Amino acid sequence: MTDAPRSTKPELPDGISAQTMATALRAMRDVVGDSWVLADDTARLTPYDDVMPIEDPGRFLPYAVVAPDGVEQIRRIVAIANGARIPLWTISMGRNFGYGGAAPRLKGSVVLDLHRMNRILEVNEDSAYCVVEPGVTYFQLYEYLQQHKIKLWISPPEPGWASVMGNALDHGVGYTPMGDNFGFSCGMEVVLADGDVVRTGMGAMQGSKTWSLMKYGFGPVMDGIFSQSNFGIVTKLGMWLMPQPPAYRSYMISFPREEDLHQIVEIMRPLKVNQIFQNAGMISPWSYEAILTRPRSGFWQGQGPLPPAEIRRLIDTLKIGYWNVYGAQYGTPAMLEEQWGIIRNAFGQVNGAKFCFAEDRPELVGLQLRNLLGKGVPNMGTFAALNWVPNAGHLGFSPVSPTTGDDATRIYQLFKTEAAAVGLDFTGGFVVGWRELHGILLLIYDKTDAGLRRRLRELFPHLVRKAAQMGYGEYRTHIAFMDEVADSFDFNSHAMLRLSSRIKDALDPNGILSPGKSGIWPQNRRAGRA
Amino acid sequence: MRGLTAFLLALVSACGSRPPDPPATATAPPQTPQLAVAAPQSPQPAASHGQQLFAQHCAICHASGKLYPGYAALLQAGRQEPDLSRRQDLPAAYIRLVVRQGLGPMLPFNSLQLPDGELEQIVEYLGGKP
Repeated sequence: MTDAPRSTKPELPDGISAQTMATALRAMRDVVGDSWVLADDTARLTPYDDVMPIEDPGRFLPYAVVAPDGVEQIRRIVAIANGARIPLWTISMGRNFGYGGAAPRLKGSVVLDLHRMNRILEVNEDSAYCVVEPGVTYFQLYEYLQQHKIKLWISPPEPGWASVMGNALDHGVGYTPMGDNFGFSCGMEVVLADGDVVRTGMGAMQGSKTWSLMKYGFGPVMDGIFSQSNFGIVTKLGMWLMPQPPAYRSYMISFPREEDLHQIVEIMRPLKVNQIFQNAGMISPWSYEAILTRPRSGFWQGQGPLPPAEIRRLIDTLKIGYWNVYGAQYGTPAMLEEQWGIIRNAFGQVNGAKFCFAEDRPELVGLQLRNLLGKGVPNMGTFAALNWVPNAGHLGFSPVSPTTGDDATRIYQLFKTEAAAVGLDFTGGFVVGWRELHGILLLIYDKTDAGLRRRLRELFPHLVRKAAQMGYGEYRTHIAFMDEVADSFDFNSHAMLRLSSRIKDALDPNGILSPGKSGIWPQNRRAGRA
Repeated sequence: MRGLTAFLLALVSACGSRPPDPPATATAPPQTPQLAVAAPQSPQPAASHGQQLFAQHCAICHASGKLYPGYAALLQAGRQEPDLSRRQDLPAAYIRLVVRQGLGPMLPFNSLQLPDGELEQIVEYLGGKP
């Protein structure tokens, strides 16, 4: 089954007339200039649609795009949107394709594309921080630090073309010890829906010298309400960076059996809690190296998930484990040696465990990518996974659990069973955070297969509900499932969503900022939930 | 403990001044990656604008090497020359279409983040046939 041809004309959001939209867009052109507004051209708007669609293509197509170049332009655009009740959908770079990319949750919204605001405003090497605008990418920041010989490391996610700010605000992760990117942000500037400009933390003081040094300022800490939300437009963000350590090395530990997962996680927890395991470690199944190495058809040409005998053959071919742990070390050479002894002794308790460093296995793409990410080097290597099946898209389901063998085993069984039910291999794994375990089910599918997309649409809410029944919530999701995930956070009859709605109504009474983001709808669109 | 003390001393000595170079180690030192990405902020003088734009937008996936997914995909697909910067046979219309619409695993570039004028310079750099 293939898709029907998409409509040739973008559709207006509910409640907005063509004349109102046209008048508003004319006014926005006056603000940013003709060349920074896209409208009335589906072909040009297509890259702003959901390019890895689970829904039918066009389901999240915006009506127009406007790209301002500064805070003052944003304030004027917000004023226009308020006057006409035009919904704006804010993006930094809009390249997180697995979560919807640049596409708005509410069809017909005007995308507020902030990529032109790409200035690195400050880098302080001594105190190890930077201040960036929304359009600064990890590649750009990395190149800047290299050119200026600044010995600070960044902590990029897998695709290095992401926005530093966008990743942090969406609770994305990197793979150095400072990989909790929102956790290591410090101070932000926000344009509110009424055009007011606020600086958080110490930045609330005019002339403050500690905006990017001290998170808390005086009074309530507001930063959190501007992450994964639609309460304001963040225009500047401070990020703490990591001083380059004297020595670094990354490693892989391979375990031969599927059932080793329980013991691996039990060993991992005390190592992580005590910071012997220093960065955001990954526990990956055989499929991680496989999807980065060659198309699936290069291993097996049958239908459905790879059978156990084929998985064993693949493991032998690539000389990897059923499970492979990727980690990295930072410190002095002596520190690394001492830590390595502890790590080896701990994981050596698993029968058949094998240890290697990145330089020992240059042929393993996954290990080499982890080696780069572990030292903050942005790259795009993970996109090789999109060669796994033809026309690949991917959809991530990411429940968070305690770091225990029992929890990891339960989640793994859920992942494996449900992926097989829709005919897909289990790809993904586990990322070990400061205390928690992020389970990741990465469903790689042929995005031209409308039947498979329909099965995935049905599967996802089922996974959300099932995980919630087990006590695991998702930390992030695709725009298509934001309502379902928000619904699963149901303590005291959804008290959190009620609180978010009250904040939304107070800060954005006309409902112009990113309606539907994280399941938060403004009062004028709450009943229909678009 | 001796190692930790040395590490802390190195950190303290770095305060307020340029940090010291890392000491020679028996382990792999931090290294600059071998990414074939020309810096958009300070392009090589000899490079054409199209070449700079290719480096900025395309080489992150299409430079030579298995860590570059565009190169890897073309290699796996059996292309004789998977490095796009060495191709001279691609039709200009085809390049424009793939950039704007995407192809297989390659995702589309929108015309605000890569304006038409810049796309044309990339087409010219790649020797796109009319």
